[in-house]
Amino acid sequence: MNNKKQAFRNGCKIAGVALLTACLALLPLGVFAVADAARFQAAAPVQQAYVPIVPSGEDFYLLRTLQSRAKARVRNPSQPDGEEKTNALNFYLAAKTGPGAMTQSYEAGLYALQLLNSLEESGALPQDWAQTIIWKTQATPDRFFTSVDTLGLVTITYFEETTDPTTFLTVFSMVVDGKTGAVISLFVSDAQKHEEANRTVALEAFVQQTGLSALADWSVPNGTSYEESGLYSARGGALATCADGKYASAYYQPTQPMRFYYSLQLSMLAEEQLTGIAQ
Amino acid sequence: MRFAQKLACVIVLVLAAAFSAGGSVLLYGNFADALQNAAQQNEAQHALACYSLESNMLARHSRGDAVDDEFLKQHMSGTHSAVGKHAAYSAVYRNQAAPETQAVFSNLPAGLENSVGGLPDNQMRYVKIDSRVFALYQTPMIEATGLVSAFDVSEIYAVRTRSVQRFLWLEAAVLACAAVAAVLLSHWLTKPLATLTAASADIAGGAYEKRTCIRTADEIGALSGSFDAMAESVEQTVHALEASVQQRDDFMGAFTHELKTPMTAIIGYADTLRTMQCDPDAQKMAAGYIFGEAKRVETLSQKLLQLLVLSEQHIVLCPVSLFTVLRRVEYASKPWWGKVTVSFAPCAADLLVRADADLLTDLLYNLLHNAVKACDAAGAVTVAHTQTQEGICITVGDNGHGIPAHLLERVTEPFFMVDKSRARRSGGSGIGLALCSKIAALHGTQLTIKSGEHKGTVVSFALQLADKALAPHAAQSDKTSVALAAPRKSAHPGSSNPHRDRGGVQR
Repeated sequence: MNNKKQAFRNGCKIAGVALLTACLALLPLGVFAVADAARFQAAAPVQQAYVPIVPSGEDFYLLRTLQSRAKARVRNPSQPDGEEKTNALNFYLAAKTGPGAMTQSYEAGLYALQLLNSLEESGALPQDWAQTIIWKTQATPDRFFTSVDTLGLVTITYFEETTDPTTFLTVFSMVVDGKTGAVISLFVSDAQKHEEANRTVALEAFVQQTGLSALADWSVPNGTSYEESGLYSARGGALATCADGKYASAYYQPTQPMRFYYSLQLSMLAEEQLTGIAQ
Repeated sequence: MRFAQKLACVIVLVLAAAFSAGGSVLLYGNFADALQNAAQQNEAQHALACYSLESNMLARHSRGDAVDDEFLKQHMSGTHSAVGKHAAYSAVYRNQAAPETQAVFSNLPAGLENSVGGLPDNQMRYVKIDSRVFALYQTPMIEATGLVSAFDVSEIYAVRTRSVQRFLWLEAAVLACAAVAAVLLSHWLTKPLATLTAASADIAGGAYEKRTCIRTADEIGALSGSFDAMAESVEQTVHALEASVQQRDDFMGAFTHELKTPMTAIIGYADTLRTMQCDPDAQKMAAGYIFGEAKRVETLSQKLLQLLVLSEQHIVLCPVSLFTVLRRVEYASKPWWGKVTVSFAPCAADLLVRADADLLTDLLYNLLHNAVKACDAAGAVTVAHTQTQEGICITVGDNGHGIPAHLLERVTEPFFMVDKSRARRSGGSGIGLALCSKIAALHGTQLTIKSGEHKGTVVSFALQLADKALAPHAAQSDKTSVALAAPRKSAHPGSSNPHRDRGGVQR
């Protein structure tokens, strides 16, 4: 009986050793299982991460256009807008500004209204401003006038008659790049005061619709007068501004000359010029 | 579990652990290298796709064209078809915050889109879907777009799986061979231990002659040697004990026989006197036989008593004049020389030896008595001594019957007689040489017996020389010894015991 018990114990021990040997032999599977579990669970940094391309203003058609317009203006600053500015190198014909020089365009008015809707949806234009302008201009679309400069920038303006028959009041004015459809500037005015716009949202939406958000360095120009109303891209050398306020118009209603406005503007501005603009 | 089994198990376990650990390191290293190489290629390919998309987007901006979803779809489809297999899978999304819901283009395998969302920028992750493994890369780009690339690395895992399978088969084969080798090796290594165990069991069972005879130059060899030495000692001790028991039995048998022989004669003659009316001469003869045999028994008992006393005695050795001792022996033994010629070598009167005078006298007396008894009528006995560097060697030689060589070892045993009939005829009882051997041992020496059958016998022993400064004491001792050794007429003609006559040796 003792021999049987001893033999059984020996058998158990040998079986245990065999089991332990098998476990040791299967160690690679355990190692890979643990390593796989760790590998599948956590993300790992890329050894050679992709370095994104850093765009500049020259990479954008719109900025090149604005830059060309700005240069043309600088070359002959005494020549007012709406007149031909020429030099020995190129020829630039600015857009007209008055209803007499501009072309009345019903289609341009409809296109402008579509852009207003888009700006309102994106947040670039406050809703009450957009609704007010649309409501006011829909009734008289024949007051939309348009003019195109030689760079393809289309100016669409809605004029309103004033007490002076020879003078017109600009209620709505928009400059659109004819190729990209980006709104470069917007000006709307009304006799009624509207709620204050969220400039941050409006500016981001405005930059987004121009397609220049790819510059990826739009930031608030702190320390300048545009600190609360502008976004600046050093890579593009472009400044986007959003402003609202009031102004006096002698020709609108003499008894009530004050009007309120809301404007969006994209313009070229070198960084050294920006820092030179003190607050 | 036997030690050999334990050894084999340990060998197999250690080998399995080492082999498995080494294999794990090797396999994991190869796999990690392959994965690393693939990752480098995939990263480069992903970066190329990012650059292609981003540069095309900027080109669109430069031309004044819109970077819309349609453009992205066309670009990705074109890129994927152009690059073909290497492009793997990709996706472009608009909203970086929630790429999985804003995918503009995606050909990612089903289930992989869900893994895109939690992937940080410029990081990668391995995703396992069913049995396929993908390396997923995500990079943000301009205009809040992002590009996700997925590369199928299942083949690397498949190669790893095949390698592991091959390794496991190899490992199983190696471990099986190692187990067999370990069993054989452990049995071979522990074979000496098994031999030791068997030998110890045999010795425990009574086979004291069993030896391991393992001759190796290691610890086991040393252990085996010690074991054999121990077994040798045990065997000798056991044999000594057995010999002691045998001697005791022989002693008892011889003693009984020596008692029975005279008692038979005494009883026979006593019964004759008791039951028969004998004439006076016959009565006298019977009484004489009874007296003689009784005296013989008495002599035997005295010798035995002396033998017992000597066994327990410690003596003090003093300077003794050998000349005086030899003269005493000559004087005491001369009556029973008969026709045997006994010659004593000349001895200087001032030659002193360290001895007990009486015991030395008894020793020489008994040796001389045995020598005379061993000789025929024309025999010759010589008592001589030679001086050596260590001391002095005394020899008693005769040209008598001699002792067969195979009996030399036993002649000092009590009651042992080479020729019993001749010994009894001469009144011997086989105690004399035993007494001589005891006395020699008390003097720190031993009897050396050289003999051959019909060639005579020479018995010798050595004594230490004594300092002559102690000569006065020796002289006084000699006087006492001479006085004690004064011959007395033997009460029994057949008695050869000088002690009984001198009485001085019975202490």
